[in-house]
Amino acid sequence: MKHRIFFNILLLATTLTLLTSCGKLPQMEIDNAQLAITEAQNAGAELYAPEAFMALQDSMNACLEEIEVQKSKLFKNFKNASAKLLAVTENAAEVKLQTEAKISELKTEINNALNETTSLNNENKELVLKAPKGKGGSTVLMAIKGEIATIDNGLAEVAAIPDTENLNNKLAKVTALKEHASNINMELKTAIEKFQSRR
Amino acid sequence: MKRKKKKIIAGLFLLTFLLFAVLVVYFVLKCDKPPVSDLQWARESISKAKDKNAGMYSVKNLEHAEMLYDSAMVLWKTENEKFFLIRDYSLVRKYASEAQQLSKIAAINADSNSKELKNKICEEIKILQEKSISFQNNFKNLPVENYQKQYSKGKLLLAEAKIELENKNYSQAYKKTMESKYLIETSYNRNISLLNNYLSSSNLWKKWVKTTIDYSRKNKTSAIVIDKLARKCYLYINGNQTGQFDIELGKNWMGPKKYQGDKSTPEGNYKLTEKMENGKTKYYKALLINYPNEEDKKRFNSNKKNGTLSPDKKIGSMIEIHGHGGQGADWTDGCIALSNHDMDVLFKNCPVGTPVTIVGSMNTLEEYMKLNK
Repeated sequence: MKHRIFFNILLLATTLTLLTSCGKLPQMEIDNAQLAITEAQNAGAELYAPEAFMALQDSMNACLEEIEVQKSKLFKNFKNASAKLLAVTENAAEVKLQTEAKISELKTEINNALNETTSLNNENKELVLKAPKGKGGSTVLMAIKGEIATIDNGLAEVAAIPDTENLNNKLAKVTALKEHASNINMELKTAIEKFQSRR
Repeated sequence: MKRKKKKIIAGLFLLTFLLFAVLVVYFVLKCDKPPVSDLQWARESISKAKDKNAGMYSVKNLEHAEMLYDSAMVLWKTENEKFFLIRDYSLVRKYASEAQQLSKIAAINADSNSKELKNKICEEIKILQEKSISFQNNFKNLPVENYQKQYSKGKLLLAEAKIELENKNYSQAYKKTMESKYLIETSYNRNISLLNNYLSSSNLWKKWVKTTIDYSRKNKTSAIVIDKLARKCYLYINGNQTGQFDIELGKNWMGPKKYQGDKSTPEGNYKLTEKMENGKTKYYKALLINYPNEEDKKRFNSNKKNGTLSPDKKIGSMIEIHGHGGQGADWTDGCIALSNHDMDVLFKNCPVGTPVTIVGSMNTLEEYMKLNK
């Protein structure tokens, strides 16, 4: 009889230990996940990987909800929340890498576009000299020269924008300049070709 | 007896335990359930609103919804710290529900606002493109570099706005469209006002041109009419227009010539006074006109007297219609340059004494704008 009572007490103690051993708040995991999210945010994830960053924040909120669910219970189990937080931390690191890759990609794209536009505009300056000037050409050429100067100024402005600024805006600016320079290039080449074929 | 007593004690103990268990079960069942699904729905709803770009197009509603969600989470945390039997999640539920409702509204508003903004941008871009064409057609000859620069900048911003529109970044697109609108419209309006001011003499110029053509018809002679704004030189023989040539002028061609070296072309009624063959001029061939005429001298002297011109200024001379034109710019010192080929035609048909009428324009502002539409 004595043995039985002792056995029951032992069983109850073991069960209680098992039930409460998972009940410790995963504060370290929470801090790590939040730190990883902040790092991704500081890397520019909000701008350059907005969807991934939003998903990340949503996952973090879901984790915090899960923690509160467990805290509401008599016997808490944070195992699931810990696993989720670990996944969030890993995901945040991935988002950070993704952001850095996007930034690097944008920088390359901007530099390429800047170089292409500069050479296009230089070519335009030479083409203007060769372009036919008669029958209204002179006034058109004057306007084109003005446009070429504006593109030059625009290129200088874009080049002066620091990389810490929104690179998407910088890319939009340089793309517009490139399009403009390309249109002028085409216009000039067509005019020269027409003029030469008539001769 | 002792055994009986033990049984009673055990029974009482069991009864107390059962009563306690029943009470615990009662309170557990009665106590407030955690608001798990309420918070989850609110979070999902906020997430959906963000997907619809409510952060850009329904900022206030989304911010309010997020604030309510955060408050609900804080309250939930606070309630969880209380003893489980006295927890009350009603306020948490209320906030979560409000957050859900607001984020739903934010999503709907974001959708409609972004569509509305997109349509507005498209409309503005269309108007600006039309204005841009009108600008190119009407003002390409005006010597207003600053306005031209402003316009070019506006055009570039318009191109940027179109790129942002394609990228569905409507708020940036709208911002750039408005910046572009300001630049294009400001330069457009300044040019219109400049032209309006310049063309206020158009009725007088029309009379000059008519008189010159009538003279050519009556006297069976040639006549030359120069339209500075249109950059055209017209040749009349016996009152009929027989030639039309492109011209280039001085940098400050707009307005009458005021003094020597102002790079302006005079406006008035003149006559050819000398013909210079190739070799006698450095500009292929040249037709000299009698600038300054009596009117020019009168204006020049009056300007000096009233202080508009400094006393050291000279009136200038040697205004010619000459060759070497077609350079693609207004490059002369106030003369009128034609291509050598066109100069040959003019030279052949215009003897000394041919009337030369130089006007700002042969059209009023309305006529000019209509012609260039």
